[in-house]
Amino acid sequence: MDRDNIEFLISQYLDEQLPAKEQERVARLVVEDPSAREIFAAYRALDTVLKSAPVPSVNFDRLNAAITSRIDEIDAEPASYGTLIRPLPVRQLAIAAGVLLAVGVGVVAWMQSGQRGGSVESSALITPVVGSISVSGPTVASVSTGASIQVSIGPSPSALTANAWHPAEEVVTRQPRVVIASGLEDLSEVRHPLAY
Amino acid sequence: MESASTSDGAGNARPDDGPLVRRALAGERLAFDALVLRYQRQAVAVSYRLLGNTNDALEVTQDAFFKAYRSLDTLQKPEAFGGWLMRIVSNLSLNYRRARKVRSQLPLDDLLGSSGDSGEAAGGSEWMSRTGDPYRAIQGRELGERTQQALNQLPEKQRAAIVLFTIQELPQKEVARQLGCSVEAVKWHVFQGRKKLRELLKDVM
Repeated sequence: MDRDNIEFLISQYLDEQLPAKEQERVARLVVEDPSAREIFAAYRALDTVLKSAPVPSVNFDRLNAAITSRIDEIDAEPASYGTLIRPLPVRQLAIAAGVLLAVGVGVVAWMQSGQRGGSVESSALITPVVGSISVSGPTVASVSTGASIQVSIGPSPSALTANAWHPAEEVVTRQPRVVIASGLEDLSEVRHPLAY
Repeated sequence: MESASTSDGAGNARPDDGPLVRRALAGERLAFDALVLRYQRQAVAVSYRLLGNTNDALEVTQDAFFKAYRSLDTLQKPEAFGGWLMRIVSNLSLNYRRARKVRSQLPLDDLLGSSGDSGEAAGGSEWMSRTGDPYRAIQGRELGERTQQALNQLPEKQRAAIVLFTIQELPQKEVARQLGCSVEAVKWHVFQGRKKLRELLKDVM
């Protein structure tokens, strides 16, 4: 066994990390072999030095005050911050709006095509596709004051007034739910949740 | 002389931590403050050994207590707060060392130097020392500096293995987890570190 292996065994022996039989074998070696004993003594002395060497002192009063101050900031935070409401940049909100619009239009088109297939008894419910909506962007530009973007899905106010728009029952019967995206120039300050 | 490893070693549970943790969880801030007072020296010592820089160690120590406070409700055994906190300290220190981010959140220079109430500045030493004997204080300072210089010369994993296992006495399994290596690798890093430190520190042993 070369010296490196012996040293490795002695290191593990010192840490009591060897199997019992191996531990006994190295113990005998340390007793009987002067060079092994020297290595063992050196490693043990080294451990003592490492554990006893001081580290620089610091002003613990100030450190304690700094820690306390940071913790005070946590306690002062609203409970919902960071958990219920997460900041989202305007660009992500716009993408989410676009996806939802596309899905909504697709669902409407699919329902209407199913109705045209004869599965609906009342022809009054069959409504033609009168238009499609596509949204791209919006392009986010730097602004010096607050800015907002609002996108809605649903009938226009005039169509509602004329009672000329009848959504299928299975589709959207709720209030328009997308999308409010607003923020300041600093996107990290946008903290409005999606409204659904 | 205050060593980097205290009698309430990192891996050992302190039964009296349990009630403090429970009171802190119940919203009693003073209880957590008591834990800060109890462990801040050890936290600074561990971080300093890993980072080799007092300012960085102070910043990591603050972050560690901050993180501990925020996630205190995830601590399964309140009595094991000390070991849990030291794991946070060592994790953050290792990450900090890797990232080597440069921040100055607080006037850290103000944190250096002697403390008014700790008594650790006795003898005017800038190193943690409880002796009033200037000769011993100088000896302690030299030993501290030499030890840290030697540790700084080790490769990262060897230094971390020595600090976490040999000095802080964390279980090898825990050290392996923190270093992202096997237990056998930890043994090897400890051994290689010892070999180099033995050579570097032979005149002080």
